[in-house]
Amino acid sequence: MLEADPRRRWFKLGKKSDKRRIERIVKACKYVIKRGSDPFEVDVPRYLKVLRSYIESSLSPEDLALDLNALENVSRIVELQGDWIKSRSSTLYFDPMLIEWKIKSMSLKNLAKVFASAWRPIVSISLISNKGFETAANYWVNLPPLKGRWGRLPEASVGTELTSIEDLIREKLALKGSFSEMLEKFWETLKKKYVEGGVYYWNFICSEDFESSLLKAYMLSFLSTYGYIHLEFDPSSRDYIIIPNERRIESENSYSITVSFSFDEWVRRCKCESKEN
Amino acid sequence: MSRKRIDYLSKLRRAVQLLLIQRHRRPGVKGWELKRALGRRYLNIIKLVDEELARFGLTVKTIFTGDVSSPTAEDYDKAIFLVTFREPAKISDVLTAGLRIDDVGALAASLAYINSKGGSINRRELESILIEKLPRWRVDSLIDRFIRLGYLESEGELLRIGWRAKAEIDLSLLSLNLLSSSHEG
Repeated sequence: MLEADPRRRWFKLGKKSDKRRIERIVKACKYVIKRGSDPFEVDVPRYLKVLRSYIESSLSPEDLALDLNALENVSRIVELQGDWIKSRSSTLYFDPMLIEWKIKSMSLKNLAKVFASAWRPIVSISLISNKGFETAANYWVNLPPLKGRWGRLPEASVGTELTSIEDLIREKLALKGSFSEMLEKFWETLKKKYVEGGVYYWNFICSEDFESSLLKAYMLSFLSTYGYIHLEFDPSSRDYIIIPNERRIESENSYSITVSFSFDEWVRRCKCESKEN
Repeated sequence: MSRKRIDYLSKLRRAVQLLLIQRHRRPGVKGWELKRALGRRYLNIIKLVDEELARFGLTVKTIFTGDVSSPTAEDYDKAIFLVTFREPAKISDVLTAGLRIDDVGALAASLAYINSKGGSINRRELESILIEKLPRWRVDSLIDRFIRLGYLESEGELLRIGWRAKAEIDLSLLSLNLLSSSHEG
């Protein structure tokens, strides 16, 4: 048994702590790179020794990837150490402490004067390109006169007429009853259909006309948002099953589902598929 | 006038146009673009342009990509060529360039400090320097502005000297003048 063998157990623990050490190396290197601090704070020879002993006992691709990552970060530190030496050994090296002290002791106005003494601004001319000019000229030539553009709209005629609520309902400008009543009826219909058998989303919302399907989709989204129904995806039919709840359930773990609903989608789902079937 | 001289003069004019007219988002022109327009010996033409521009107090500056100590022909092809002032500007020129005097002071402090730190620094470290003279909200927006203008470059939390600072500012002279100036105020 693996656990009964103390050597194996020791090996497992040792490997785990080795892995942690490598992760610490990566972290330390990244910290120095990110902060831009003295790269000689990193003990590169010791890190390389640790990496060598780790690679000798590593077999899995994860171990090798970790080792590679650590080696990459250590090599970046060596690069930074090179830059650091180059910068310090140059005759134009300025001690950051001294610079910081000078910055703190001088006014912003005097600092600006120092800036000007070393500033040689770029000289350039901004022009419109030939292509840009050509496009602009073409646009201008093809632009109709203002008078022609403004005269296109017919004069607005304002008048008042009386209409009945039945006419408004017929024109689909008003609802028959209140929206909550409609929802209540819709929910009851769903419950009944569910008892008869599974209700698939697209089967349910497909109606004779697009407007009715859209209204069903709208009310379904309303019912699911407020916890009156919930949806479950059926991978075999690649459609959602509508499951009505007995009462409203307020769930904190719910999430939104986007169902595309356009006229083309409606034709494809409700007209073409029904013809095929 | 000989045909060769006419050809040289037309190339000289073309080089000045390419260098001065901003055709990209950033000013300047790449070495390979000059090579395509002026031929293989474009560096000779640029040298002549530099001599001509000296009469107007201007110079052609070459900005290499990366740390180049002895540039090769390939380095020149990748480099950016710009026209800058030959001599340092006056403080009044700085102020007419749309920068406030304290913004310029903060820029000088930022560049001198980053340069002394080897060219890169953590953003927070720079903020702690600037915050002694400016309110925090201005420090944040100023650093972002310096990045937008190209004086600084940011890589995550790390700030570096930007392309514009490399082109416009003699960083060694800036640090030297800073250390040698009187520190009143």
